[in-house]
Order: sequence, then C-alpha cells, then structure tokens
Amino acid sequence: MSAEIVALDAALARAGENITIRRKAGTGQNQINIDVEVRARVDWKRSDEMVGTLFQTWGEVILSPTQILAAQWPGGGPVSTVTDRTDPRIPRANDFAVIQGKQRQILTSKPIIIGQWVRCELTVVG
Amino acid sequence: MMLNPGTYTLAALGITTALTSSIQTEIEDLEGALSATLEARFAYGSGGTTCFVKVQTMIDGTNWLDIARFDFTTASAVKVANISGLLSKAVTAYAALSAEGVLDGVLGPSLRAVVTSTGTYVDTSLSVRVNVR
Repeated sequence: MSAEIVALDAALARAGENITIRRKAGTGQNQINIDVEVRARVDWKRSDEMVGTLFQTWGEVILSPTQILAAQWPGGGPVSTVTDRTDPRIPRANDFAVIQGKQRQILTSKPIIIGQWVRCELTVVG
Repeated sequence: MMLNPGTYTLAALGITTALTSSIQTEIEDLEGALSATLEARFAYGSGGTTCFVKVQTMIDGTNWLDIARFDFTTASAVKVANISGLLSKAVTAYAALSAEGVLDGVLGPSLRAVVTSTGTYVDTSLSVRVNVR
C-alpha cells in the first residue's frame, strides 16, 4: 500500500465518518443498489462560500480507495477494457453517497492517481 | 483460514435485450473459502422470455467450472444455493450445468457470474450476491 494511502487512511480514521457509496443498476421500480461502506471526510459549504447557483446542500467528500478495493466493489459487471479513468471501482458522477442517512447524488468525481489510485474527491448534492 | 471472507456482488444489472453468455468480472482472492452461499434475485418488470445465470469458479487459473445455475422466466423470484468446499466428492466427469443445477463440493478462489437471456425484458433486473466464509 502506498504511503499516500496509509497517510490518508490514518487521517480519515481520526477525522472522518463512515458513509456509503451507492451505484444503481437497472431501470424503473426494479433498480438494484450496489453499496460499499467507506471512511470519508465530508465538508459542507459554508454560507460565506455561496456564490452563483452553489447551494448549502453541496458537499465535498474525500475518500480513500482502501475499503472499495477490499470489498471488490462494485463487483461483477460486464467485462471491458479498463483504464485509470474508466475503472468501474472509482465512484463516478450519477453514483450516490449516503451521508448521515441521506442519499445524495455525486456530481463530480476526481480520482487522484499517483502510480495507483490513492484518493478520490467527490462533489455531492442533496 | 480464509482470505477476505464477506459478501460480494457477482452480478447486478438491468436485463433488457437478449444476452448470450454475458461474462461478468470476477471476484478474486477467496483462498481458503469453505463455503459460498449464493443468492440470485430476479426482479421482473415486463416482456422477456427466459433468463438464467451461471455461477462459476476457477481452480486451475484458466478454466471456469459451473457450480450453480439459477433459471428465471417472467416472474420475480429469489433463489438460493450453498456450495460447500468441504464436501467429499467422488470422481465426477465435469459437465456444464442444466437448469437449476448445482455442483456442490467444488469451490475455488475465484467466482464469477455468466448471464444469458432471451426476449427483450423491460424494467427487469438481476443481482447475484455471494457470502463466502
């Protein structure tokens, strides 16, 4: 495990919270949730940071790949060519994050890759 | 002692147009697993004809072996099976599984699902989850 991940995991253990990353499959009333619990740091926008159409329901989430890789999330999916940016294990826009019991949509996902995936920064709303 | 016991998703997908042996990515690093409890959950919307999913394991690093097959048609259903890695088994010629078949006693360190369907389903989904321990 890289030093970056070890340091991030230690920081999240001290100052993070458990959230659930959720991907949905299927359509209509029979959608399936594919969940994984991860340790993350969640920061909500303060009122003095509000500009334009930014709302206070927007949050920034930092998470480590550790729990996702351990759980082999999201599990089986169609076999395809995987690059760093299309790796299905990396949370992506239109996935969801369940934070403090409320499901919120992921707007943006920025994986940090330093030789390997070491961190993910999400913007969530809801 | 088993590496990485827990619950994993072998497949989770919407079923729409017909699929022919659609291979799902595998779950790996399950060395030491003594049993695998499988749950296949078919949530039916409308349309379609038949759908089945085979769960396979790999022992030799190359060839996949069917260990359970779950068959569905046009109704929602939840089906389960348990595979024991400790079951004594007489020498048996391997054969692909037919409907609702199980090959108990054969459990390797990797698992995957392979989905086949006929007809066009609408708002229908299939998930296969396994608890290995």
